Amino acid sequence: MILKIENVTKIIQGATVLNQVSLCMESGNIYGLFGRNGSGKTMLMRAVCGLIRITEGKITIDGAQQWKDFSYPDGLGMLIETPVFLPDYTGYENLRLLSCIKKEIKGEDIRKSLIRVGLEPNDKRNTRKYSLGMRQRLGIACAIMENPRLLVLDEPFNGLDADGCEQVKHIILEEKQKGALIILACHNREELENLSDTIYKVEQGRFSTFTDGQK
Amino acid sequence: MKYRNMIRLILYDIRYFFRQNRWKWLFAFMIHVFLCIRTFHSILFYAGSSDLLSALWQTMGGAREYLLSSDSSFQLPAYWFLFHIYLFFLIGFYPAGELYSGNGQALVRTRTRAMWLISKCISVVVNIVLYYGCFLLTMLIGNLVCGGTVIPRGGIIGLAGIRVAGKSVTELLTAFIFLPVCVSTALGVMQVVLSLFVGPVLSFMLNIAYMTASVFWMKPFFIGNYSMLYRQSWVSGNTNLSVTGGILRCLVLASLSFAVGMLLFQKKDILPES
Repeated sequence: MILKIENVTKIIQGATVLNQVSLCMESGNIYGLFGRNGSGKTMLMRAVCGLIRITEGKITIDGAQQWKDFSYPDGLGMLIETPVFLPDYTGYENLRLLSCIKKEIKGEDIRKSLIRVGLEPNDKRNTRKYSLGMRQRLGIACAIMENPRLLVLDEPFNGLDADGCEQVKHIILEEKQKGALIILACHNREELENLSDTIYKVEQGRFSTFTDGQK
Repeated sequence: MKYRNMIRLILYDIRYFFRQNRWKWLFAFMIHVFLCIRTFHSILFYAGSSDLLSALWQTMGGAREYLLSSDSSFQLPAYWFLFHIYLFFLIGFYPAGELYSGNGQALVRTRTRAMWLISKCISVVVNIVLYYGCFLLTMLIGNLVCGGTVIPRGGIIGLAGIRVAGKSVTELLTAFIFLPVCVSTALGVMQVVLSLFVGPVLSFMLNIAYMTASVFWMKPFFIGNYSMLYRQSWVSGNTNLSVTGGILRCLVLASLSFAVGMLLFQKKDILPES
């Protein structure tokens, strides 16, 4: 998969949140986004996922243009902002319900995803009783359960303890090994440097290469 | 392929809706039981015998035309209002809630935004039909318990003084059930579409205001009038409020709301602050 972002600009209520962004990303790589709050990291992720319409430029995946040839990337797994689930149902039930839309995976795949993120698939507790870290893990399970080819993770380490962070790092590297294209935004520069193949520094909607080919 | 995707999405929406709103549905059932008990109590008290049409009239009748004068006071038909407003409360919060609180997780799993919106509208219509079905069933059971007939003896709805003798089953079904369902569907679709842009609370308030205006002004523009049996042309004599006209207006409003919603939703940014 080759994801090309060409001269993408997004203006919201007069404010330029993405300014002439041009990036090229390929499968089997992790692209880290580093920058302050409100710099435009999440907005670029939203644009790639099809949650916002860009004002100028174009986003293509393997030559197919977004909003022309497709609306949402095929094989997309995403975790953007704090995940919210049905509070009166278990983690497994929530994922099972979401998986019904595409019906590409079975219950066993969902169980495996939950185990990968350190959650117990047979846990009878409702997500209402989940801690922030558990919700975050469930959000990551939701992103990876359908074997994504494009994985977009915005602050995946939020609310996680040290073990949880290690598990998520391991998952990210596993998904990379499987050939997924991963876009990762994180405030922790050290973690980002350890994981990413390329890091982009984001400032006021502008993206510049921070490190390239460090790994 | 697209057809299968659509079916799966609709099934997802119906499941999600019931899981998210099961308490609201339980309360809806309690409202129906309350309306049923209150209706048959007053019918048996004032008329001595009960029948299904008279029972339905108690809720679906609404109010006669309000004529503004120095000594008149404006009153909302409480049971008609409660029935409809609760329906809008039940259905109106789901699509926007699912979209924004779920951070678009369902949306990105659909092929297109159009599919997402169509599925949401269909699930809303399904819930409206079930709401009416639940109400009708409650009334039927109430009528059976009270040993009543379907059509009033003598062909006149006693408490309202309305003659239904000579009306065909189709005409009665259309007036009592089909037209109110059409009105609720049109307003429900409008509310759901509005909720995506102005938020579910404001769109619900706008619908309440619209229904109140429908009671105040007996005009075809306020399609809430068509869901009040007292205002339909065969009762009020007002030719502007014919059943056919009502169905057409409902179709136009639902189609227009959907088309405009579709156009705007295609360009909408899904942001958490929305």
